[in-house]
Amino acid sequence: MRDVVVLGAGLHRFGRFPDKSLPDLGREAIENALDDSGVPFKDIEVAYVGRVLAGMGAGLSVVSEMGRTGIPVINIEMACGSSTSAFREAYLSVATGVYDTALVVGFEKMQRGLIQIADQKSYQTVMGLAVMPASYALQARRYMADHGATAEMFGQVSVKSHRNGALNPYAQYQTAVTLDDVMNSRSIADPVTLLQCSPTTDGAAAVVICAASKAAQYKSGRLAHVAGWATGSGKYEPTGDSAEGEADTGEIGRLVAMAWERAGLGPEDVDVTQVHDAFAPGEIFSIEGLGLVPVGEGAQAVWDGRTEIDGDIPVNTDGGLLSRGHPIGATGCAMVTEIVRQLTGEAGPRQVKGGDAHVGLIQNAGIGGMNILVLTS
Amino acid sequence: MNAAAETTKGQSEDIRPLSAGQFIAAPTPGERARLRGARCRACGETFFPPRRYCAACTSGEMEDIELPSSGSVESFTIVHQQLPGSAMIPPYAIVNVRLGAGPVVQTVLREGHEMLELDDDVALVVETVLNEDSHSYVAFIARRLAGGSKEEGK
Ligand SMILES: [Zn+2]
Repeated sequence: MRDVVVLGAGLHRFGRFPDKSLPDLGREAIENALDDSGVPFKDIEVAYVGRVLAGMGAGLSVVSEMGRTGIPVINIEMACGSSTSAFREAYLSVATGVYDTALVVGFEKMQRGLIQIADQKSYQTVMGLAVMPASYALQARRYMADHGATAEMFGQVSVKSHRNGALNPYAQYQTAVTLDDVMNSRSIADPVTLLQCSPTTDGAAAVVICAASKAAQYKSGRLAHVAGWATGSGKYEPTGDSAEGEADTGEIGRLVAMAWERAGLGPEDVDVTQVHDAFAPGEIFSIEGLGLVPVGEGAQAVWDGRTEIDGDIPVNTDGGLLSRGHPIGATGCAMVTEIVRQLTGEAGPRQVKGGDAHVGLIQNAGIGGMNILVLTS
Repeated sequence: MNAAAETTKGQSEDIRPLSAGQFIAAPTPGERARLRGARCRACGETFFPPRRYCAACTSGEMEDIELPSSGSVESFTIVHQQLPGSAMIPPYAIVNVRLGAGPVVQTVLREGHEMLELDDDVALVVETVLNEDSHSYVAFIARRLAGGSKEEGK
């Protein structure tokens, strides 16, 4: 497999843009990624597109905004993990030598309110079980009893995320909130309150990747390399699992071990991390599953500030899903974008470790499936 | 059965499971739920709802089993937001119930949810959850066993 670098990344701001079409959102993200990479669109050989709710062929309608060069445009869907799945396919196509340059795009336009995860007439809906935050809430309550954590420790994840979002001009929410704000916001699925839920969002994100051997013609300086990856679909763990929800810590642990083996690195090497905090407890479960802290110590680690930008295990420095926003098809590419900024020393006020960050870890989940990526510089 | 006939409670006599195949015998509102599970003959893992191939070992040698009609609350959450299309009116609890050595099943608990605690014993009971087009749709729900004490058997 060839060495592959991320040459450029960019977003259309996340938020609510009722007057903008998907091509409007996607085009701006692609323009920003191409500008950042130095690669003209005519040099892009293939495009992989993560999207969920848009209709047939939506990827082509967005990518062709940049020109009709005849390249393959491949639509990929894995719910909230769609665009890291697209990234992985693009990476493999370049690493195996099929293409030298590839574009990855993720985009979404969403309705307000709880994401509908089951048909209106389905058993899960009629019975009131298809409540998205419920799987996190169920896991959170058990976690509190088993590990002596408090509801405030989950709330603190959201306080941190909003503080980081306030430093990110592309974030949906750019205003800090207090722990009281979080805990006193409306309860959705106890102990998860409204401010511990990621919003529904419109947005787009794009990434340009390239064979490392071809990178010099486009860009010089510090570049982020793809060092490791793993993908899975929620391996069944015999007895002892909860009945519902996205992949649990066991699945994260299984996959991250595969990614570390490919990268030749381990959790002790990580400088900065992006995790799937669709709901606030997610950050705590993820940092434990990834091995950044021992199981049962994640809540205390958040409470102690260890996942803050200036902490020893900074997580979701751009505000995460909670504050940056969660346009489901675009979220994975936004995660990649933030890690690339951190690893190239371009994260501005959000920069970790004084710019001396060289290993970035990404965990992006989508109902049952999960992608892990390790980038290095 | 006459689909148009109504009981004095306003419920249809035409009782249908909300989810086909969920019960091992015709469900009767108010009685214990006799749930149909599946057990893998190869590895012994049990599942609800039943499945044709084992999720653990991929064997297709599955057999129907009747699951216990009570278990302990592994976790729960109180839902405060109305889910569009749902027959459940908040607040209600979503509970994960561990059925002995068998699978964990998920359902709702409506009455007494404010007293619910982890590891409480609950019974799975048949209840009408939806009346529509002169049909009564039944499903299993969880009900607290008095004082959290162990149940006395069927
Ligand atoms: Zn089996």
